[in-house]
Amino acid sequence: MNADVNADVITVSLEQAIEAGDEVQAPTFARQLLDLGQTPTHIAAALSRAMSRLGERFRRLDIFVPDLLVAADAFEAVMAIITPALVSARNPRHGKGTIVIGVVEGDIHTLGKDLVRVMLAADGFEVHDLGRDVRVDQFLDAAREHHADIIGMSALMTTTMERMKDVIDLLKSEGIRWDYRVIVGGAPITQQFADEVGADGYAKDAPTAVAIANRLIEGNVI
Amino acid sequence: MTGRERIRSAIQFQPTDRSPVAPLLGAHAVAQAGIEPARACEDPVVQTEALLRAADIYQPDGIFTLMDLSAEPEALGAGTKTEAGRHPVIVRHLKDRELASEPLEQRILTGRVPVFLETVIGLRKTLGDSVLVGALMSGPLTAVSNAVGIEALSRMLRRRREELSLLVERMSVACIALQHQYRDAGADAVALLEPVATTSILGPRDFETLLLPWIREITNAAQNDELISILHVCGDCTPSLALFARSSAHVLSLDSAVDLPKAQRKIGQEIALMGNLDVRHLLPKGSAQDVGTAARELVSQMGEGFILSTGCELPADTPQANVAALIGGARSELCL
Repeated sequence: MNADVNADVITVSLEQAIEAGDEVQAPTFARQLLDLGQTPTHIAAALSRAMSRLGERFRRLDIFVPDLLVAADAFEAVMAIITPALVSARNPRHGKGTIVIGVVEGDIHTLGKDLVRVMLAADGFEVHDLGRDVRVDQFLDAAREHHADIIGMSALMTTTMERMKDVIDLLKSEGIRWDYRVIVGGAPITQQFADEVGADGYAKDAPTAVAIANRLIEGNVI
Repeated sequence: MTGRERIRSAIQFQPTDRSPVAPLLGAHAVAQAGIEPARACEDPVVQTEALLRAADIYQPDGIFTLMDLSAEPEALGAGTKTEAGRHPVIVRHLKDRELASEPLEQRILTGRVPVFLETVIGLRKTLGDSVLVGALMSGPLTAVSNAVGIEALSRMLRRRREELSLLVERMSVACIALQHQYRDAGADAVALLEPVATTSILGPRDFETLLLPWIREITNAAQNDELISILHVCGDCTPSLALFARSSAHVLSLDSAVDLPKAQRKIGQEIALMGNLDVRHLLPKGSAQDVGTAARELVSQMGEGFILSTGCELPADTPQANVAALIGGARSELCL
């Protein structure tokens, strides 16, 4: 078997390992691909295909949140290997757009946000994760610092979701509302709530967040 | 017919003089009484007074304790914090091995859990037999999830399934012990809150193999205790409805993401349904007329075996007029 054929086989195995959430095999395959001379960009593209298929399967209720989570673990294990090379190569995949993302103040539920972060990164966005319990002003500071295109906010509790409006109100009062697009999501969030607080997009799940981020970046109306 | 009789008849699919109505008044009741939620979760007298005040204003057929999904995990050792205007929230999770090291049946009865037991005693004492008194408690999967964190639970589900099964089993035994306590306190009903069993997290196959056997153990124990057992699940659970109907619970309580009349056509012969007016927009932000219309429409579409309620606990800022309109929606519809 020549090197190209071998690389093709391993690339398929890598994608299968990501979809199976195998955080041991996935980085092993990634290292093998690097040893065979494949570029980090080639590996990132394989990750993107795998995560995209997972998103579709999640939409069909063929898989569920735990499957996405273990796949995200495998994804991040591979990203830890290839990120230094991607950054040094000024990977054009990260030219798609920059997003700062976090769980709003008072809320510590990070699962949904973590899945969105991984799926956005897999799709080629540059993602800056602010973590959980993020203050209103921290969203703005991070957006400015990273020259973000999009601010993503997540909340799991009805008691914390109002912080999303606070962030948008602060953007308005600072006169920078239209410097950024805003996506909101989380269990209690609905399209109606997103409209009420003036968000640009509502993502009911991680795959939807990716689709909306792409549409916002392309300038389409949501 | 008293409210209690009305609900008991409904769950047995027997005729009632009108649809029973039992919204989850908790957070709203506490706010209306001018009490901090955290205080009501720590003081049974305060919680009881707030709920009795709401019962007096709205005259529901049944009333439930506050929804506090942090109480059982906190009793088991998880860390919580309280802030103004909010229920207690979990800020420090346990390692799963901390739940595997000793029996949970006694630990689950500690911390703030006795607050809810004493609230049931207080409600029963004052309301007598006229109003159904129900307790809300975390179901076994949700209790494990809130104790160890949903990320940890999700990883266990896919990587350490046997260990997770053991935790769910141990938590179920603890739930049965707590359920006995609620029976002894005078509760008519216990609602198992299982938001983590929503379909997007726990798919039908996982629900059937991991959780359903233990839900059945708990609901069978409830029936032995002559308690009405209610299974409450959040989100759009339509793909799992047939499995929920096999839970042996008397009542399935669903949130507004589910089309309840359709659900009744699908499983309404097997299990009574409860719900499911929207607590995110309609009740806190709609008009009283909107709420009344929605309540009457739902009642008119549902057959026997139905309890009109909220899809989840009423938000604190729900206008009184909207709650009254919900209750009135059941009263204006006779279903003899």
